[in-house]
Amino acid sequence: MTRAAVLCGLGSFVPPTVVDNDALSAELDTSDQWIRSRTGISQRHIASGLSTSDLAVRAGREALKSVEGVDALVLATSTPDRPCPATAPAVAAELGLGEVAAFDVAAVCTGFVYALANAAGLIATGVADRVLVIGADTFSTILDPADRTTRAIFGDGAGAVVLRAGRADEPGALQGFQLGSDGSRADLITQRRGGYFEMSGREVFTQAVLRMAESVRQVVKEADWELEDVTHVVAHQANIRILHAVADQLGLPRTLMFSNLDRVGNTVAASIPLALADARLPAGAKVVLTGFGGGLTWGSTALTWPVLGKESDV
Amino acid sequence: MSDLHNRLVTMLIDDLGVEDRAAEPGITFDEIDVDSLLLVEFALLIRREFGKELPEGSLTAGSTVADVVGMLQEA
Repeated sequence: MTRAAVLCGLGSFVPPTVVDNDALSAELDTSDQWIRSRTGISQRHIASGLSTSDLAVRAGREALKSVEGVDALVLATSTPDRPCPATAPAVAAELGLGEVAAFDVAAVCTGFVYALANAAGLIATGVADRVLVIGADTFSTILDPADRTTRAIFGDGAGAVVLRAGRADEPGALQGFQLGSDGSRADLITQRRGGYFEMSGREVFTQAVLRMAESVRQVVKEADWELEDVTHVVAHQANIRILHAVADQLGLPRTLMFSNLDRVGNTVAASIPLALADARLPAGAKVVLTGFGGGLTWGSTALTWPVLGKESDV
Repeated sequence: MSDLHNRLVTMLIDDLGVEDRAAEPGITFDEIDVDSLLLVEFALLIRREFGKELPEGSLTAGSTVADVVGMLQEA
């Protein structure tokens, strides 16, 4: 029987510098009311001098408290410390993980779901027994300082989980994946060489809603659940109106969509694990994680929320 | 007013929180403060309700509910 990947640890970190909507309004032609009504965001944290690996190390350290070491590290990021090499080995070294397998996954805002799928594969094939999966980004470093839209939406942060080998029928086991991409729409969310990050708002909104809704439908089927079984959807924190529109497309109550956008904005690859850390889900919750981002890419997975604590105590 | 027209007006007012003046014949989206983001949300709701996709950019600030009825009858 295939070994399942079971979530057993969780950590998060946001840098201390906060930029609220009033601070942005003092600098750009925007307002707190305009930003909140269109995005649901009140403030975002900014790395201001910290690197992606700095954030990743802090979130990773917290997640590692649940286990005695890991065999591999997968880091989802689109803002690596350097173009080459990957940032994951540096994070592994800083965390004192020894000479473990370590690599980056670049799928922008879907990066964390793609990284989970990679980690689950390492576990299923016996390459690793425990994997640290981190999502970390510092988008504040690639935004156009004069672009009021992207500067209102994006924030910096990191979130991490530990997956361990286990049984498919135990709480925390990832119940399959749905992953996809559409490179014909690469220009909708992009940073061209030497340029700032750019996003085509209206088309991205439509694609995000339709892709995440369909991905959730498919992964629920994969998990052998019904949509009505789902108690919490922890989606990529793109925009509150996107989250509500996803619920509307699925015919689910909007209250099922967890959101911490208000406090952290869109933190790209960090958004899903940061939201998981903030959500404080009850054990036994039927949770779907879904992401959408540049590529285009999208993906989902599902799990019954486990009791989290130190491995020896559970 | 056709049933389709009434249903679209109800979606605007009840689902998207647009002011009641949306029911006035010939009023444009611009006149009832339906901005570009609301138009995207409206198109997504139409897709869910009627299974029909409106061409990208077909809904504009100057469009009316009657225009949407026409597009849906042609789609």
